[in-house]
Formats: sequence, C-alpha cells, structure tokens
Amino acid sequence: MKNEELNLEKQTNENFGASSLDEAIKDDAKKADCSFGATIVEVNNLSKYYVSPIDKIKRDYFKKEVKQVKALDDVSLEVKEGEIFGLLGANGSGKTTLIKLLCGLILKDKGEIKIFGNNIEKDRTYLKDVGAIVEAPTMFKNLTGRENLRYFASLSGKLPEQRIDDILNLVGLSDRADTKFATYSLGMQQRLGIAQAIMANPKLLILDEPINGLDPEGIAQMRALFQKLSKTYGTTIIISSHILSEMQELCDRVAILVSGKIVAIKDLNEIVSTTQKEIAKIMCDKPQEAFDIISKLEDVEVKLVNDAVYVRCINEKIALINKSLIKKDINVYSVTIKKRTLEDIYKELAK
Amino acid sequence: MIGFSNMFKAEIYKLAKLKTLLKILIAIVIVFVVSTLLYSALVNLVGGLDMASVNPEEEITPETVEKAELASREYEKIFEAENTSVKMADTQRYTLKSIATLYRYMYDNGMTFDSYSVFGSISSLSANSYIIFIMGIMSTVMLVFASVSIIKSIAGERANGTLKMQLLRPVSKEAMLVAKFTAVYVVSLGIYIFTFLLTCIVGICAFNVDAKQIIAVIDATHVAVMSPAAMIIIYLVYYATIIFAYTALGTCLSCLLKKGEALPIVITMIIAFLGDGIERMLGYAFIGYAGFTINTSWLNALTLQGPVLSYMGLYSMIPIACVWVFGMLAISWFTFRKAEIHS
Repeated sequence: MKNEELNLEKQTNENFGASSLDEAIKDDAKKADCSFGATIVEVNNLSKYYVSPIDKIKRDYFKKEVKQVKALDDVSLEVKEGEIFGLLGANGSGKTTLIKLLCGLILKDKGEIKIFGNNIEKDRTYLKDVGAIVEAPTMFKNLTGRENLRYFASLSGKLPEQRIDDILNLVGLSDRADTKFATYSLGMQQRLGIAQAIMANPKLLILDEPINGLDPEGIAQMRALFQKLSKTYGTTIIISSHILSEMQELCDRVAILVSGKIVAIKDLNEIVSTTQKEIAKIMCDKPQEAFDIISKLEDVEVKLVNDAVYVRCINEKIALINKSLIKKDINVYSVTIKKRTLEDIYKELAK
Repeated sequence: MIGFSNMFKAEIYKLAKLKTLLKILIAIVIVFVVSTLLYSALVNLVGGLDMASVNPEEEITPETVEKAELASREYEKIFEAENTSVKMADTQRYTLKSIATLYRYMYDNGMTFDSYSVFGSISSLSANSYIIFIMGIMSTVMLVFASVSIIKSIAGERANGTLKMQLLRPVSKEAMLVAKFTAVYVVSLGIYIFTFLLTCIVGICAFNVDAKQIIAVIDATHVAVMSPAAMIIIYLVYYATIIFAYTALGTCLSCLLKKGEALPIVITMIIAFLGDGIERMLGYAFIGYAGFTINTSWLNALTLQGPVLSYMGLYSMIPIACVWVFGMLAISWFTFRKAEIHS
C-alpha cells in the first residue's frame, strides 16, 4: 500500500462520498463489479456466556447448572478476502463480544474461530496481519500521539519512522502528533486508534465502531479510506457501527445480531435490487383521478394522503404508472422513490 | 514466547518516554543526599550507638574477647527469661552475639583493628556503617519503585485499557508478562547498582571506608574474611533478590486482583513496611523464617543492621526467597494466561 496513493488530504471535499456525480457512478460500478477471494475469517457455532467467577467454577468443575448471560449463541459466519463485512445490532446484541473473540481478548465457551485458516486459540501469530480497534482506543496518556504509535508499532516489529509520519498525515493528526494523548478530543483519539490499526499494513482490519466521535468530514474521510483499503489493496474489513446509513454506504455484506444470535446475513446489493418493492410518492395535478387509475393496476398498493399519491410496487411498475397517468392527461410533477434501506431491513429483522 | 523481545524493547521505551527513569533517578539522588546528610549528622551529634560497649580502637586481647562473650551470654539469659520478641531487644541480642563471634575470630586469627576494617553487622555508628545505612534506605526505595512500576504496568494498564491495546498485537500473554516483569526488574536493578556504586565511592572518599580487606559476620555465629569485591557481590545479590522478590509480589497481586492498581499497591506497601513488625509481634520463629517480609526490614538500616536479619542467615534467606518468588510467579503465570481482557 503506497502512502502517497492514500493521501486523502490532497483530495477536495467534493471527492468524498457521492457528492459528485462521477464519483457516484464510479462507486456503483465498483460495487457491482466486486468479487471476493478466499475465506479469511470463519466462525463456526460460536457461543460465549458470561458467568460470575464462583458460578464458573461450579459449572466447569462440578457440572452444575448456573445462571449465565448468553452474549453469543451459536453464531456462524464467513468473511471473504477483500470484502467489507458489517456487524449490526442494538446495544448488548453481541457485536463487541464477537469482535473481542476474533481478537483473542476473551475466550470462547463453544465453537471455533479460524482466521487465515488457523485456529486462533492455539496461535496468536495471526495478529501480525490484523489491525484492530475494540471499543474506545485507549493509549498512554502521558505519551504523545507519535510516541504511542512508535510503542505499538514496536510490538509488531520495526516500522520505519516515515511510515508513522505518513499514517499520522493520513488520519489528519500531523499537527497534533507531538502533543500528549491526554489532550486529544474523542475524535482525535479515534483517529489515532485507526492509525495504530492500519499502520502495519494489515490484511484484516477489525473495527469496533471506528467512526464514533468523528465529525461529518472525518466520517467521510474514514469511509473513503476504508473503501480504498478494501477495493484497491484487498484489505478485508470487519466493522461494527450503529450508524446504519454509513454501513449501507460502506459494507458489502452485513450480519444482523439480536440477543447474541445472527438473525440474517444480507448482501447490500440485494437491498436495491429491482425485484424488491419500493415506495414512491407521486405529486400531480389530479390526485384523486390518479388514485383511481393506479388502484386498477395489479400488484400495486396505493394510498391517497393530502393530495399525494403513495404507491408500493416493484421498480418496473413505476414506469407503467407514469405512462398510465400521462395517457389520461394527468400532469405528473414529481415521482419520489423512497429506496428500501438497511434501516428498513434492520427494523424488520430486529423486532 | 511470541513477541518477547519486541515487548521488552517497547516496555523499556515506554519507561524512558514516560520519564519514569528520570523521576526515579531524581528521587534516588534526593534520598541519597538526605540520607548522607542524616548519617553525617548522626555521626557528629549522636556519637556512637555501640551496643557492645567495646571501643573498636582497642586491641583485641583475651580480656576483650571474654568481655564480649560474657556480655552476649548475659544478654541471652535476660532475653530468654523475659521471652521477648521486641525488635530492639532481639537486635541487641544478635549484635552482642555477632560482636563476640567476630572478636573471637579475630583474636584466634591474630587480626587487629588497625589492619582490617569491619564491614558487617556491628551496630556502631562509624564510617564503615555508612554503606549499610545508605543501602538499607536505598533498597527500600528501589523495592517500592519496582513493585509499584510492575503493578502500574499490569493492573494499571488493564484498568485504563492500554493492556487491551497491547494484546491486539502479535504478542503472547506469556511473553507479555515476562517482558513486563523483566523490563521493570532490569531497570530497577540497573538503578540499584548505580546507587550502590555511588554509595561505595562516597563512602570510601568521604567516610574513609578501608577497602583493603573486609571481615563480615554472615550470621551470628559465622565469620568470613572476604575481599571487598566478594562483599560487594554478596550485598548486591542480597538486595537484587529483595527487589526481584518484590517485583514478583507486585506481579502476583496485579494478576490476582483485577480491580485496578490501588489495592495491589496498598498490600505491597503494608507487606514492605509493616510485615516484618507483624511477623515479630506474632513471635513464632517459624513465621519469621518462612514469612516473606523477613528479608526486607527497612528499620534494619536505621539500626545499622546489615542485610542479614537477626535470626536469618544469608544462606538460608535466598532459598526461602526463591520459594516465595517461584510460587508468586507461578500464580501470576497461570492467572494471566487465562485472563480475559474486557476493557
């Protein structure tokens, strides 16, 4: 990964996200064109329970039934090389527990985790190709940002000083690199956490709510960075967040967790598929007439609310509706399509 | 152990960058200067605390030896009759016995005080006691530094979340534990050796410690003639063992107690400063022999006991310390390996 290619600070704000038409077209083409490699992360029947220390002894040594909190219950998933895989769920659904298990911070009760083909319980060397942020990134308060990065870099082996400078530049902390971590705002701490995760060129990034505390510009910068890492350099990313709109922009697939179980794994391209029904709001000069005409069409739900006609149908029917109204000399002012979003799916599944 | 050398270098870097080394060196210099001034004041103002009431400038005659042995026997009778384990009485008993043993040895071997310096556990305030006095205080400072540093490095970092960040690196838990322990111990020992050499230099230059040959009372009944180098090595081994033991204690408490750094620090300080007194109050010899604090009485420096405590010889101290250290490190190893890091 060449540092100059990732230097987002040289790009103008117009290039972030989909605010320019060309970028939006490019993004869509990239998403449609994606193909992923081998399985990098494999989780099979993973369970994790939290018990008190005394109950743990009773359970493990005396085989007694004890009260335990199911943080994860029989979770299975696979993540392919190069994809951005999202974890969605409410507070306490098990996202952070799963991330901690992937990073080896806590021990599983049942199941298996393989990363790069190896069982992680037996060998921690997989972490040399992994960068991670778990919950809030906490570092040494009395060391500067640069010194913190040097410390963590040295745990992975030697990194050139130039690399640290480039990474600080990349996350927008060059100006504050030599001030103490204790003086950083939440957003700056998060940026430094992201810096320590990516500085060793990891093949797998595991990010637990990495955009917490970032301003809108920072969120856009990080989104662009993660997309570039994934699409250009093939870095696999597992990311959890509460911000569904960001996840929809960023992820290729998402797993939705509810009470420690995975209730669905969705490919985000499917969400905008033309076979899915969409809701459209039609404004015209004769709403009642329009309502009457549309009501006669098959496979279309319609409602008239305050001179606006709402329809629910597949994408292809919208064109038919428009044609029908124009034939009857009804002037259509606007057709606004409310696309089905990740939020809609999440709400359906998380009930 | 995966990542040991990386972790070790990183810990040394951290100690340097946190200015930990600088702060402890400043503290050491301040304590050293204050202790030296205190010692000088005591030498000049207080005179001697010679409990043997024998003038060390006299020649050693059969009468001198008889006098010392009589004083020791008489005091032993008083001590046993009153069944006391009060520290000062026990110290005096040991001192008298040591002096009697020393004088007997010197007389039997034709030694005089002109030719040899006494560098051992005779409780007299003299230039030769300077090193004992200063190093007793310095070793207390170093054991506090070592134990607090390792507690902050494990329990403190677990509480503030940086341990979690370290475990996201390709370093095994075993390597992390050993590297943290080693880094703290190496730094503590390095500072201690620096302090020891400084003390010897100041002692020789300012207080005329005769470095030709040294007689040491190893315990109350054994005397040896050693070269200064051998004596220095014994003292270094002794204090290095104490610092090692307290680093192990701090490690063990940090691994067992998972609620932050305050409780392990408090327990360590209680053991370091009060443990010896508690053991003596309990009054049973086996507690003294087996207890952990037996080697770390900071009061010994102020009463000018040598590093060997009254009823414990150097050669029995080290095995007991080894048993304690082995036990504490084993507990640390097994608990840290299985620990879950939630924050």
